[in-house]
Amino acid sequence: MQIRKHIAGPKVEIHVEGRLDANWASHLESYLNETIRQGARHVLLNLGRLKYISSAGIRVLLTTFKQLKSAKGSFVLSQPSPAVKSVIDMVGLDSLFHDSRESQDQTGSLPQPVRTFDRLPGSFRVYRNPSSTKSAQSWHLVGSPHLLHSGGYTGSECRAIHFPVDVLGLGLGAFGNGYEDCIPRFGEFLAVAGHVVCQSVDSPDTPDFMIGESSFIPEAQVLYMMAGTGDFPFFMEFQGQEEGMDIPLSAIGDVAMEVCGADAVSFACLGEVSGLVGYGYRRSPVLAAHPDEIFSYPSILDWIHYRSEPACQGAITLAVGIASRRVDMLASFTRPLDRDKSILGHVHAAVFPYRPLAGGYQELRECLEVLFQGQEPIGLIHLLSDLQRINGAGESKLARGICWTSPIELTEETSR
Amino acid sequence: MNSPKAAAPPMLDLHGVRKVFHPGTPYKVVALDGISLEVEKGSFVIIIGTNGSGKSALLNAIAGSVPFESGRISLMGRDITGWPEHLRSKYIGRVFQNPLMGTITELTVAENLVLSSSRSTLRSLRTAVTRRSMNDIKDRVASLKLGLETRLNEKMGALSGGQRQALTLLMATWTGPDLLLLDEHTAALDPKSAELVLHLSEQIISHERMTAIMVTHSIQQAVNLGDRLVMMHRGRIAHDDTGPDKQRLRVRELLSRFEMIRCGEQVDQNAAVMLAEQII
Repeated sequence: MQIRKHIAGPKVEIHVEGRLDANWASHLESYLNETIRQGARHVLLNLGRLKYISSAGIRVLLTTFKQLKSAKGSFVLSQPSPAVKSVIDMVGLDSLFHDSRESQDQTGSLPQPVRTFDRLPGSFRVYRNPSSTKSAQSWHLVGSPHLLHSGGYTGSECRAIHFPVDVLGLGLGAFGNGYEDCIPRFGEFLAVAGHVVCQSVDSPDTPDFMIGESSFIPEAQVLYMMAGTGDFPFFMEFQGQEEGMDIPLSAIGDVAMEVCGADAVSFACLGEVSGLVGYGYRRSPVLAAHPDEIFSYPSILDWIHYRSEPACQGAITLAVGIASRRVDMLASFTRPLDRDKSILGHVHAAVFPYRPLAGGYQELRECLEVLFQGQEPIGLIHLLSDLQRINGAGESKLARGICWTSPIELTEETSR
Repeated sequence: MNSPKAAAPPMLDLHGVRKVFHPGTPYKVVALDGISLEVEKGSFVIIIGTNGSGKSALLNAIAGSVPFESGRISLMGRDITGWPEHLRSKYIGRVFQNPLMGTITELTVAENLVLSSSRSTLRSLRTAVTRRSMNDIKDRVASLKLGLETRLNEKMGALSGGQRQALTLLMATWTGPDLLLLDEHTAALDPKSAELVLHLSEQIISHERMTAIMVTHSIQQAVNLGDRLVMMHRGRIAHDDTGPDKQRLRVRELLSRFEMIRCGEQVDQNAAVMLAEQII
């Protein structure tokens, strides 16, 4: 089989020639996947010289269609031979011969960018969230993070917290019935838009998660967390200015602060990973007989899992966190993200298998629903910047992505 | 999951077993770093770990092939810490990686088997291969279903590695030992023979309800065999899964555990200081 590609603006036309049978289907599939990974969202598959298609080929057409549909793209077939057309018609995929966007073009009603700017290495397009009602999110500290260092947690520190759609959270917690039940499982978690992901200390590849639906609101047992309430007034799309230019986390925080006109922001970022640097617990930290065990070498290796090299390349991440320039207010809860130590942050990142992300303005909750549909997170990492000059793994970086952001105001802890 | 502890002592009980190679030299290696491990009767434990993690040192400590610095080992409630290897071998059967180690090349198959069957009672080459013992041997060898019962008078050296290892397995379990140690016993075999010997091992262990400890390099074997999985690293037990936790383990998860261990190896003291500062 021969495959040729023509790129015309945002559209990619791919010509296939020969037989699309089981022998060649996976070849075409990986070719299409690679094309989508490179950013193509509207793909036209020209079947003019395709002589034969088997069910293996049909399956590739269908999975590609689904992938691009979930990314708000399009996948259209053209010029099939009568034989190929009749097979595709008979399996009910004849709708693929029509560009579905033409019938339901909604670009008029979607928000358009209000601002674009290039700041090396990234290029950012900024949108306003038309349904946002607040100018800033209200954040507060729940519990005592310092107990991790000074003497550990007891049952009285643990509280059951609900995470409705408008609550964000990142901290130390677990799913379960009360403190005793969660003792062996406490780890990092993130909560955003009714989706809660908890690190699983005994198998790092399978974090547990809960999704709020209709009247169900996820609940987690929390030892401490930073929690925010409100929506995100701003949305931005970003990508490297050139192929191979990756966007460090600090740059996303930096631009988010500029977009929000604030020196402390929260963000929820969905992006294609170039490399994540971060740690997770290997054992529930409340099991430590003495907190020094967790923080001193070499016993730290029994408690903390850390990769000294960027990981998860090619995956999708949902990174939720805060970024700030205010050393005074958030010092106990943030750490430097960039080498200049001018941008501080606290970010937890859930990792998912690759799937193409849509372009243009999007609603956070809708995006998360698509993200969690039919696939599960494969990791949860507390991102850090390893700024050791020679041996350091540096910052986490994304190739491209989208990000919802909001200014934050800090309030005193409210008891729940 | 916390089932009430049986009143009977565990089949094997290791407490704080420590073994150091080349102590007091720059080449000092802590092979076993105070290992404690209880193995219940009838349990089939798989031990997996990176090179130098202490897997074989652990089997050697149990079998008594090398002395260790400190700690205690009990078998069926008897303290065997001070027992020499040949005394322990009365109760502990062992199969090594090298098929040549378990059998004597120059003797016939039957002679090898008689030698091992008399291990716990009388160890003498003068023991004749009597008609009665010959019939017994024939039956047992036939149970392997390898057709070796017709080759009992051939020299052991004439058999393939897989056949020899199968016979070694038979010999190691002949007298119904309290504990069977399998030390990467299929690593030196071709894939087909390895599959055969593994199958036989599983059959014998489950049929005789034997307590067994098997060291392996193969993640696939670790996933598919046994009811308990102990993962070792640097002379310590890094993971210990049993029951449903063992059953749910898959290759991907074990690979990720090895990957975590690899990552941990790369974290030096400086990185650890950096890391400790970042933990919130």
